[in-house]
Amino acid sequence: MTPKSANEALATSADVSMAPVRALFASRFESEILAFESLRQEIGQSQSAAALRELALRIHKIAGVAGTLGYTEIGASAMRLEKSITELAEREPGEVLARIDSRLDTFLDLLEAELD
Amino acid sequence: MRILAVDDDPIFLELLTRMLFNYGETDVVVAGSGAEALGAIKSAANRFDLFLFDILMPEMDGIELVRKVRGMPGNESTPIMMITTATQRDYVDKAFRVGASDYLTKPFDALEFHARIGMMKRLNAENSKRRELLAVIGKSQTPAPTVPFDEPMTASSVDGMLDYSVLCGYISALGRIERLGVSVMAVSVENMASIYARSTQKTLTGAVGTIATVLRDSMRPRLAMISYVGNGDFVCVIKYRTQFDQDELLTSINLEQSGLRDEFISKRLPMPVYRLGHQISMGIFTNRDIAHVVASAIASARRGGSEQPAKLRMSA
Repeated sequence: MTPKSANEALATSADVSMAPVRALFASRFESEILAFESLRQEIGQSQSAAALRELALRIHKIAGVAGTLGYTEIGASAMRLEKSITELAEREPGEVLARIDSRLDTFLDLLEAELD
Repeated sequence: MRILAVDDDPIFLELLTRMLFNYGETDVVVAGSGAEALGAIKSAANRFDLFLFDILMPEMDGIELVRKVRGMPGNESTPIMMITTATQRDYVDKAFRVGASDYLTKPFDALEFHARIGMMKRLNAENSKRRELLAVIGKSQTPAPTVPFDEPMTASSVDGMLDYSVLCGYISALGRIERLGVSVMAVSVENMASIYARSTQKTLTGAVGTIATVLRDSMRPRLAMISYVGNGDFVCVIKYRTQFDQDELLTSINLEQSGLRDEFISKRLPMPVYRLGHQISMGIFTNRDIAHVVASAIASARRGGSEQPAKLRMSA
């Protein structure tokens, strides 16, 4: 068995048992979108560092799980966002938001596309 | 294996538990925070064989958790696998320094997950054998060291000192670009055989830990990690490729060590005598070449760095 096919076999056997986790993960998308929008508003209005931390933590969690559950694009988008936020750690929350805003939009679009 | 998995995200814990179950690991306890994990370890009737800690958690993060667990009796050498994302490289280094054994990057690759858990299983089996051997030796009060002269060992209380297999795992898990930023240097203790011959296992572990501390403190802040390989050879992973001045470094080591003279005398051990090897840049190489780099570094140290280092050509 080649490494690739071994990996595929493991992934396939895992797929069945992962289905409930995948469904649970997807069921959070709607509330996540609302939470991200609310945090975005809070950071924009009050420059809240706590809101930015919360936003970063939520992105981190999605980045960690999405790829493993087969949401490759969402996972990659979340990782890009997480990387940008880490690189901008020294900046003011409002400036961070301004710089990641379009990426955040793309990420939220990807979550929204999975709602249907 | 009895596994404790810690993460503040219940979905991730569920995912992890199921992945472990798929590979036959069914004895998994989960905790949602560092505090909950410490409680589970304290109240466990049987020791855990493997810990899986997320790095980024609110309140107590994974690094603090490693530090606390390593301070708990019976958990000094239990394998700890950190779970991280690609953006948390700095955290991983910190975790290794306080005693983590390996790390897994999210999202998980099924084959890699399987291989790394298998490696932790082997590490745990080795630890169990060592504990059993030490228990037997302790009962018979045999004074000689239990670890053979030519085998690796570690002193878990030394910050930055890792089991040799863990150090190799760390290097092989580095990305190609990250490898470019590190180099390897070996230090050989010329009279280690004499130290070994006069030691019990306890004094030998103490001496290895003291030597590692001396080397670490002399190379700060550039030393990332250090391991004892056996035969008197220590391998150091250096964070930058800039070369140490060998004479200056040897002077620093001897200065650091001079304050420990009484410690060696009280244990009737000779003071260690050091030979430094050349720093070998890692370059871009495949995993199979790590042993070759380490062997070259050790050979250079045994020669006392008297020859120019061979320029290693790392083939794919």
